[in-house]
Amino acid sequence: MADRPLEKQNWYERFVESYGPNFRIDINNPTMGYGGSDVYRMYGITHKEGFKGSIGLDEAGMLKINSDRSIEMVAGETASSKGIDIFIQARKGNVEIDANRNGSVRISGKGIIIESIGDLTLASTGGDVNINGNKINLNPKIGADIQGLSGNLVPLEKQLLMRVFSGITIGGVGVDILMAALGLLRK
Amino acid sequence: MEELLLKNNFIGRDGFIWWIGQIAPEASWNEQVSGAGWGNRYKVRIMGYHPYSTAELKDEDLPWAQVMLPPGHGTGANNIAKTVKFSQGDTVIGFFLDGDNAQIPIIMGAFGNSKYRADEGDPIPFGVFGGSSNIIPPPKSAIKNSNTNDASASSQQSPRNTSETDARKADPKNPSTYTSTDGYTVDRPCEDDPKDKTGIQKLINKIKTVIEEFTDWIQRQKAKFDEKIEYYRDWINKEIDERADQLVELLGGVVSGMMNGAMEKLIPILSKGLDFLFNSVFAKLLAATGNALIAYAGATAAQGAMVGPVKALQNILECIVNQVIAKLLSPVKDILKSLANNVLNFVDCIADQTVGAMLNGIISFITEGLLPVLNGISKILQFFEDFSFENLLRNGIDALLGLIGLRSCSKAAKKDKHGPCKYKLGYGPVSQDMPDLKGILDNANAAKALSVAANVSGFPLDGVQDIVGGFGVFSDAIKDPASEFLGDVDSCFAGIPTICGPPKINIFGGGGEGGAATALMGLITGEGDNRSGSVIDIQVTNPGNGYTFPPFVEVVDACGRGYGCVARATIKDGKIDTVYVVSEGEGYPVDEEIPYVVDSVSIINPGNGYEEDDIVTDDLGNEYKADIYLGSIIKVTPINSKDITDIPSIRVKTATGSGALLTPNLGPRKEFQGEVAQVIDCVT
Repeated sequence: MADRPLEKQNWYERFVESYGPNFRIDINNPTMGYGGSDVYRMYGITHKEGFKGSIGLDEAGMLKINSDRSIEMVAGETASSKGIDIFIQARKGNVEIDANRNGSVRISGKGIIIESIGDLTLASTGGDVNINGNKINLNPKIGADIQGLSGNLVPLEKQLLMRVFSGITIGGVGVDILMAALGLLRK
Repeated sequence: MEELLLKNNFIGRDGFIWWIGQIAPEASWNEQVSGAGWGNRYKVRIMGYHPYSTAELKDEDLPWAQVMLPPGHGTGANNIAKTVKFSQGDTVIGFFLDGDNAQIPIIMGAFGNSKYRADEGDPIPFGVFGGSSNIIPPPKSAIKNSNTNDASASSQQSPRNTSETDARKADPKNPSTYTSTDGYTVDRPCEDDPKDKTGIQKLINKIKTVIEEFTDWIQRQKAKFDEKIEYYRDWINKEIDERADQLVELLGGVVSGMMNGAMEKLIPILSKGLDFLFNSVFAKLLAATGNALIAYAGATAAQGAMVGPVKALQNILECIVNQVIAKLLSPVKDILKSLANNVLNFVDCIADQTVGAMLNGIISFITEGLLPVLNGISKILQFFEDFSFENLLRNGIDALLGLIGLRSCSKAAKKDKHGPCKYKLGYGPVSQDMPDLKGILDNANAAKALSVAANVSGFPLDGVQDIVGGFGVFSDAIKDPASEFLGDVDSCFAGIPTICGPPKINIFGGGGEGGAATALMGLITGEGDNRSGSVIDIQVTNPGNGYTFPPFVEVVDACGRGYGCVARATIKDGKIDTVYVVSEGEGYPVDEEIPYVVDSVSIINPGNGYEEDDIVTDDLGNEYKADIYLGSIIKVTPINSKDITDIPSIRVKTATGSGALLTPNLGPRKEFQGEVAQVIDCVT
């Protein structure tokens, strides 16, 4: 709503190196942001469209890299094959990637390994989970469960129809046998 | 003549001749601009040597001045160089290489422009001009045009690390921001909460976060264009399209969850109905034929006739889910349009209303889609007079929860130590309560009842309300605190808040629970409604328990006026030990200003290399006693206690130590407890 009183802001500690309207390094600017004030911020602005790209460290200790448009990281053109071109490590917390706003997180490679030392969860909040391949191998060490009301993989006894007709025999036979005879067992 | 003959016209031989001059308009040194020039040269009009009139001496005829490079700039040799840059109109100082001949000026430096410099005008000799020009045009965005190099807050202003709306509140004249995304709350990938067995609450929260981000975006556009919607209508429509797509994707999970939950309730009903059907047919046939075998065969045949219709119900489930999702797009867009028009300030109940409206849409579409197959099994359902599939979806939270992902003997999910699924860009994770699903559904039912009643009365509600219910969010009255509408569904007010208390402290994550704290305010500025302040300390009121990692500390201003306060917690034995302020922030609403004293000092980092005679003080005049053990500071005790309304910065005067981080814990001055009656010496 309002800046802190000027006498409580240390502007003398600030350094600015401004190279015209398109690039600047601003150090110790006491202007407050969401993560406190900046220790430094270096940024550029495109000439025609005014897009901003910046890198800076705030008082909360967060190094922020922002771009109004896109960020590209490329490495390894002259490195040896099978080496590590890009390595990202989070020392104590998560690595979180988010493209929730109508984007996808796409990973493409000659081979892809997703390895978890704990649980591995594949979940779709509102859509389907699709696994395509020449062959799908599921090799659980203990067991595999599936839940659902319909579909080829859901055991008959768990499907809606069988649960409705559970314990009911028609003409002395179970509904599953009747359905098989009528060709209704599969959709 | 004699004097001239004695002159050497060589620097230093005839004395040292200083001059002050002005860089001439750039057109006169254009060859330096075009890249065809050499050296670092400028045309300079020198006071006392050159006339004030360009008619007498054209800019082009002024002498070229070379620039003397300071040490550290490099000469260019070995690729060591730093660009020299003056602008037209700059006032420079230098000397003549050729003494009194005054034809070879050298620029040594320049006088910086101050804020008292007049606005730039047309170039006139020794007038005030310069700054942006054809070769260095004025900034197009973010950076405010500046022609000064003062040691002041107004010189070379940089954009802020806030949203445009907050930047505008702090400084309407310079609302530019580093990035237009700072301050948005977004969804982040996170683990399930063990209490959320089906995952539906996490899903609802994701939807609420999208709604919050959307309303925030709308407010930013409104602030930018001062409510003149005609300037950003196209942007809003594009945003609504994209957000609607995003929400419909998320709602797919709600649709399948609701369908699953409803089917789980329907299965026992249908089983029971088959029993009733058997008994009914058997009784009728027995009465008609008197033959139990015939009656049995007929009854089982009647049941058998239901296999097909029930299978049809099973087969259509997936199809209905996809149909409902496809149908949701249009009403979701309408709901977002209402949000854009009617909400001035995001509050949680707005998101709840929006979710409720979407649930009503889902219920309507599921009911509509299932109608043909439900008709097919009407012979089973006929035994339940009050049966209505819509009621099955509406009555009871279990239909909303669904049963997808219900864990039986699976191991329990771990509580995410990184907190809830919400993240504020430019800040970090922020807290989010579990949604009140029952409340949302109850309000959805009430809102639907409103629209049904309106239909019956012959005055149906406008537009999408007919499908999704009569929520306050569809009326602009929701931003009016005096509106009667607020009492209808859930008393939700989405206007600009008028009453703001001090910020609240939310402590979350870290694996524990129960931690609580309050903010102590200081650095108060402004008057009346514009009074605001900073968080100068945070007092722990409940240490909580079970913390395995330091929890996040979030400062929440219900009115959204303050920002920038960053605080951290430390833990000890699973409890919160202290919360210290890293950045005090600004602009937070405040009550009365209360002076505090330093109660105690927390040692966040004991450092090393300190000695017994090191002195600990702060910038507000307090003194402290430090206990040192093996070079580390292990205890700091305040000696005096001055009243303060600012954050003391504790410093250690030391010749040997480094690394200690000491943070003060503030509190109100304790009441005077009377004169000292007796001193008891327990030592001697």
